[in-house]
Amino acid sequence: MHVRTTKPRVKKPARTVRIPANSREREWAWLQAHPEALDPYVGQWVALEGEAVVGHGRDAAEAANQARRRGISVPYVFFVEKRNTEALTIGL
Amino acid sequence: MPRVVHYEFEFAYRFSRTGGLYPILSFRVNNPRSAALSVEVNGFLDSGAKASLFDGSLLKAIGANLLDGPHRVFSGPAGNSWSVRMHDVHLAHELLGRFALNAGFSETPVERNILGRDFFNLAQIGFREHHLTFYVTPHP
Repeated sequence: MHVRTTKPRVKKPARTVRIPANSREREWAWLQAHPEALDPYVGQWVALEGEAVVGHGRDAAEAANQARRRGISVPYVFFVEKRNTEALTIGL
Repeated sequence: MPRVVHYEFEFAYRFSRTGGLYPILSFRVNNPRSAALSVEVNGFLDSGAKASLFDGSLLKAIGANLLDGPHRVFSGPAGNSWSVRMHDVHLAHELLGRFALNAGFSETPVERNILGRDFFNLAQIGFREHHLTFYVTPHP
């Protein structure tokens, strides 16, 4: 009797790709190196493109619309919190 | 028996102006009814949050009306609550792909966007706090 043998199939583990940052690497690096640069915008929303504030205002829409008027099709917007190295952030 | 979970992508924690490093993901938010307008935002990964919460003004930034969504109340750890409107949005990340999410958008300002367990339900996410890294596979 012929017995067919097959090699056991071992699933190769997926390789984890290390992502130091995504497409906003430049902005993140600049924010970390120069946190004081956004101090004038504390309490506002800003649109940041590279190392330039291209929009700011009371809310995200105002900041985004200013950026769009300057030719930024997908503005990167966020709220500028007060710098505080003593407090620990817990969610909201 | 040990369980092994493989992840496709590893991300470094991000700097926050409030001090320290946090698991923050930057992604694009699209209005599914009007793809012409989108913005890119940051989201804090929060496995303790049942649902995702975004600042309501982001909806206006992508051409949607906050008050069109059904009303819900989200509660926070200090017993405080937020009045929110639920909206369908698409989140897009250049490596992780697209995610359809019914998320809460606050009627009053919030300073940080939260990616909660509704997002964790769409992607496998793991943390190595000691290494300040998190891991994502874009399917649960």
